[in-house]
Amino acid sequence: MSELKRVLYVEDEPDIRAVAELALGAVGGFELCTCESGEQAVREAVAFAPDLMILDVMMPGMDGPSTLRALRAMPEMAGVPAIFMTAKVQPEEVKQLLALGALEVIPKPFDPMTLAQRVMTVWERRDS
Amino acid sequence: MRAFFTRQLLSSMPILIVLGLLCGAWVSWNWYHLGEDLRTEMNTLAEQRGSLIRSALDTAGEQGQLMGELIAADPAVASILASAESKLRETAGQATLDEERAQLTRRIATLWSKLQEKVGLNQLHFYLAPEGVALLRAQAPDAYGDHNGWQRPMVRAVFADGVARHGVDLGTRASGVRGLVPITDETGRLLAVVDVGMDTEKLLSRLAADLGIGIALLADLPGRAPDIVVGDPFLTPVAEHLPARDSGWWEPSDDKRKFFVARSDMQLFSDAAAQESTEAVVSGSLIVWSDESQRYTTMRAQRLRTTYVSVVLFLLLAMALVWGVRNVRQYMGTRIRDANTMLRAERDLYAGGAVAVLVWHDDDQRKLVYVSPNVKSLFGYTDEHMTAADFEYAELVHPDDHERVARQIEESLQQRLTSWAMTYRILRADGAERWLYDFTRAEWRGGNELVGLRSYVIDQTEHIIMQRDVAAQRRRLDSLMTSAPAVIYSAGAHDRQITYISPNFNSLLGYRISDEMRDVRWWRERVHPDDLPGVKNLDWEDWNGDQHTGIYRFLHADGTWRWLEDRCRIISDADGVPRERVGSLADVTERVFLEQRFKHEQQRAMLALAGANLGLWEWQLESDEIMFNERWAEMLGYAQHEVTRSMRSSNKMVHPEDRPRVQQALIDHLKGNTPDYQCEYRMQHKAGHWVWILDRGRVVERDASGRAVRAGGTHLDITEQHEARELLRESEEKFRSLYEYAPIGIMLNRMDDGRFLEVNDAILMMTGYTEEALLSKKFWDLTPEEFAEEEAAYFEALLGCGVYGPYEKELIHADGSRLPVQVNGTLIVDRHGDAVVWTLVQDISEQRRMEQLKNQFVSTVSHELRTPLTSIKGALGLVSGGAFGALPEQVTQMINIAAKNSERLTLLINDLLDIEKIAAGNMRFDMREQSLEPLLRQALESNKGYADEYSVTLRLDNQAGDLLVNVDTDRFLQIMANLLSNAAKFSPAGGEVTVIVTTREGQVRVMVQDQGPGVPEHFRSQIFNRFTQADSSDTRYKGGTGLGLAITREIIEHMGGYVGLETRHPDADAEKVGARFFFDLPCRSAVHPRAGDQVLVVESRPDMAMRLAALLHDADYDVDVASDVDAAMACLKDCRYGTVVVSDALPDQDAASLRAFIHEVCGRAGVTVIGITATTTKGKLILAVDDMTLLTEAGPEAVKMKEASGTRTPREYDDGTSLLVCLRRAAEEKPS
Repeated sequence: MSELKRVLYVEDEPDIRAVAELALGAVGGFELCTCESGEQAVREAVAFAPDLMILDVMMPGMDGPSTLRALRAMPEMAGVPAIFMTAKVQPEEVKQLLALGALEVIPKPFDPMTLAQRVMTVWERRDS
Repeated sequence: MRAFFTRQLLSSMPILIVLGLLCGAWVSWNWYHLGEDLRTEMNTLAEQRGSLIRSALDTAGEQGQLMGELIAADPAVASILASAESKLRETAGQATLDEERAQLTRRIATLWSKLQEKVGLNQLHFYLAPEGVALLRAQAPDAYGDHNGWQRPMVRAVFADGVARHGVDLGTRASGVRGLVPITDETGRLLAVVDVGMDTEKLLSRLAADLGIGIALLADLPGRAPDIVVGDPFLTPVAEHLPARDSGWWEPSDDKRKFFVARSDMQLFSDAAAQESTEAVVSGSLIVWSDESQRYTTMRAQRLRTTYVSVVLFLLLAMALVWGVRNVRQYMGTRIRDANTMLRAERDLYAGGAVAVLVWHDDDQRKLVYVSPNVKSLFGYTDEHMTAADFEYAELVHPDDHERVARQIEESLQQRLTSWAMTYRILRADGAERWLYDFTRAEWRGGNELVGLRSYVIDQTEHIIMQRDVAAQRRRLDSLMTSAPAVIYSAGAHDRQITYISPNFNSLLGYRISDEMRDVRWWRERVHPDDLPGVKNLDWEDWNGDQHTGIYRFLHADGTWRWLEDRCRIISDADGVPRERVGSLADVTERVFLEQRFKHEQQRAMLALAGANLGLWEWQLESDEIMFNERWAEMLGYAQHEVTRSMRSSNKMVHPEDRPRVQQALIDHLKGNTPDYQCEYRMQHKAGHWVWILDRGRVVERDASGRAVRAGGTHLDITEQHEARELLRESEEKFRSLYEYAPIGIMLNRMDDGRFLEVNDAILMMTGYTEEALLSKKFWDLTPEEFAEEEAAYFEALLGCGVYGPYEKELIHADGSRLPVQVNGTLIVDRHGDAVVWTLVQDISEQRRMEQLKNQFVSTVSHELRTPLTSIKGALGLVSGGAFGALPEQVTQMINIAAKNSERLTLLINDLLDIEKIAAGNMRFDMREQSLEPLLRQALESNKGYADEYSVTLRLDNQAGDLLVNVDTDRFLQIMANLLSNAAKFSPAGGEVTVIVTTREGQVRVMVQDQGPGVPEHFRSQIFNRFTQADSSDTRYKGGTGLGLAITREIIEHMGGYVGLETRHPDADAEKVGARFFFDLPCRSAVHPRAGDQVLVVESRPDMAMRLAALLHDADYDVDVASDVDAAMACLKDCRYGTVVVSDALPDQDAASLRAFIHEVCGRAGVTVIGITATTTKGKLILAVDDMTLLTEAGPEAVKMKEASGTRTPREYDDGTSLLVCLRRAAEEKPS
């Protein structure tokens, strides 16, 4: 069982990005690479070599699912698990996102104090 | 002496006796002959008169019958009579029938007045079956209900046999020439008889007066006085003494006059006769008489004169014999050498007699050698005068007769005739004209040498004049005939030469009467070849033995064929040898055509029967034998011979289910319960399948006890129709169930007044009315007043395009409450041609309620959100504002995020509340007319900060000038803020947002142009709807609530404007495009010229000059117009004008020289020259300002007018606003 250390975080909204950075970095102690668009994530993912990706769903340009598809197309990234964060959490929508191969869908708004813990729980559940 | 006489007498006795006998014979022959001549003449005249009278009577009767048929053919009349008849029958004659009488009177009113005025028929009766009760007498409306008509044989006859007839009816009360026509109902049952006629006496009186004769009509009953006697008043009394009714002269004993009476047979109807005879028609007489005293007297005078002459001659001869027998004896046997001697003797002989003698000798150039002394009374000349050498007898002869006389003499001499006679006129010495009868003898020597001529002349004037009288009579007859309905003619029985034809022949057939017509060949050439054999042989239907009636075609002078009815009669002499044919010709073309048309119609009916594919059957009930036609069998797949010919067997082919029904229908009809037999049923086809047959028939014959003997009818294959009908019924049922059970209200209303025609259950449930209540109402009764106007507008549209809606309105519920509904409908024209409207009504009260709930919810939530938000904002504000001292950097960052987003939430809630207010109609608008430009500048200013955040600059592209708009300031700024912030948000950093203002026809368009990516095509259509962010595409726009544009639209529409997104121009540079939102608002120009400003318009096109002048005049300028440069220069001499507007229609050279002139002459005053391009589009003036130059003493200076006048190319045209703006600015720019 590998330890979760490096997280790639993609979010276009700067305010949420700022809050999430604090929650995952300062509170959770993960090593973060934050990207403001899917395109940036595709560019930086291989170099960063994350253990986990957390993707926003609604973004201008490449949205979350397209970004995931693009990343999974890279051999280095093919096995990296992903989590979606979205405000659209109707059961149908969640089902669709999970079908794309995501580990979990975390609904917005999230609690910044427990976000890291939740991510960790998901990560551990994956291993078991 | 005595002895001598005696001896002389005795010796000449034999000669005297012979002479006496001869003289007697001559006198009596003459006597008889003159009488007989007159009699023949009178007979002919009477015959003609009789023909005329018959023809007149016949025509009147025919007219009556024709009119009667016209009335009988009127279904309305038949139906009135049917009603009257049935009432009468049901009440056993007790019904008063006032209503039917009134109806009938109204129905025939027009015809009746025409009958009287135009046709002269003055009697119109209606007799009801069965006993001829008088229902109506049009000429005596108060006389009805009696049975008087029944006494009339003619009426009884028509009731008895149902055959129309016409004739003369001699009644006990009144006599008439009538046409009687039966009126039947559709089954052929006799309902009534209509009788149209004319008073016989009236008709005959007119004829009698015209002809100057008396007329009597009577049925041949022994000892009866004439039924009708008419004639000249002085003739009439005579009739009472009419002797035995045979033709001839008659002298009443107490009267000195001499009448000629002529009687002829005539068929009549007579009341009196009918009492003694069973025959309706009896033989009668037409008696015509006239006072012929004058003619008779003339004849008698002639007779006497002849007798007198004869006797005198005889006496003279006798005396001559007695005196001269000895001399005669002495000279007997010797040749008479000296003619003079003989002539002298003759002179004595004829002296004083009526006969004058003239003798010519041939050897003396045919000079008169002897003239008897009595010539004086004839010629007015003495015998000496006439025998004088220079006297020329020929000169006495009337010039008109001269040639004829000379020719006859010449011809007679050439033929060596020994005698001839001629009649001619001479002119007496006193100039009077006399007619002479001249008998001339020629004396020949040796057979061919003329010795002399001897003429015996006698004055014939009186006789000729008498003949003239006859001719005058004939002319009178002619003139009468001209107006008579038929042409009368007479012709020789053998040579067929026409001897008389009445002058109205000309109007009948267009030919002028001429001599060539006399020849039968002329007629033959004009009779239609097909009809000629019949005409030649009178091979026509004989009537009454000697009258022939034929109809044939005759060529009218205009080249068309006319049908003539020729009724003629052969008049034979006493020995029965045909002598003359007398007849009448009438144009019956119209009647024949009518008959032909009737035949044609009949034929067509037959054809239609065949064409309609009808099978025919006829059934003899007694033998149960049925006759079929080919089609009947063919319908069922059989050949004609394959079908058994009995009802019993054909009944087996009927579908068992239908059989009882068919039999019942048949029995009902056979029993007489139904007027017709009709049944639809199936029959088995030879191939096994069923064929639907429409069977219609009727009993055509019943025996005396009323039992059906024979029936006939038709079969029609209606399988297809039946199937179609089934299909229709099914679809109708489907529609019906849909209509009845649909949850949507369906109603049918009349278009013109909105009355409910049909409603379904759903609508009753919805509105709470009962069906009866609703059907008594109109659509409008359910429409609240405030919707009426809108509703009417929709109905207007309905007329135009056939459909309306869907739109929302309210209906008034039965309990008075309001029911919100959505309606839509369609206009259809029903089978009566009336416009009706089908409307679907959907109850949207639930929908409304949900909407209201949602709105309330949103509004409540928004309010509830605001309260905690206020605290959050307040708290965050305090912390971030440093109220608790400086914070660590990360805390500051977090606090700022919180503050910013709470701000955004506030905005969102405000927007939500705004849109809710607008939707609920709660937003207040404080509308004020104000200048547009300051508003725009303020909007740009207040959004500058926001734009700076995106590094975007805001720019007003052109000036709005003095445009005024009517808006609420705050709301206007709100929409500008929405548009500008959107534009800024989507612009790239360093980009520019431009605000552009244009005007067009009283509208200003404010456009906000950005340089962003533009709006995706698929999103354009819904961009103004609420909450339309790009959620669905998972591509989120930056910020915003998704309500901005929806609010913008609501606000702008409230202010009477329109907001939109300009479509991308396909040619536009893609890089620079961006989005261009715009809104339009009504505006008006605030340009007010300064009083006294004078403008000169230089425009060569008169219509354009007029339009420009009107434009400027409306803007309070003083305008003058010059059509060319010279005129303009003349106007400009005193430099009154502040501005000169020069149209592009002026040649460039002229424009240049004009500018130079203005500069030189008016430069000091500072004149502005504005160049424009003016044209029209759709009849409206549009123009563009090309340039504007201020001419001052210092020199020309182009005024900077870019923004206002739009000097970009291509030119920007407007309705003249830019020109007015220029004028205003020009005034401002001028040096004061």
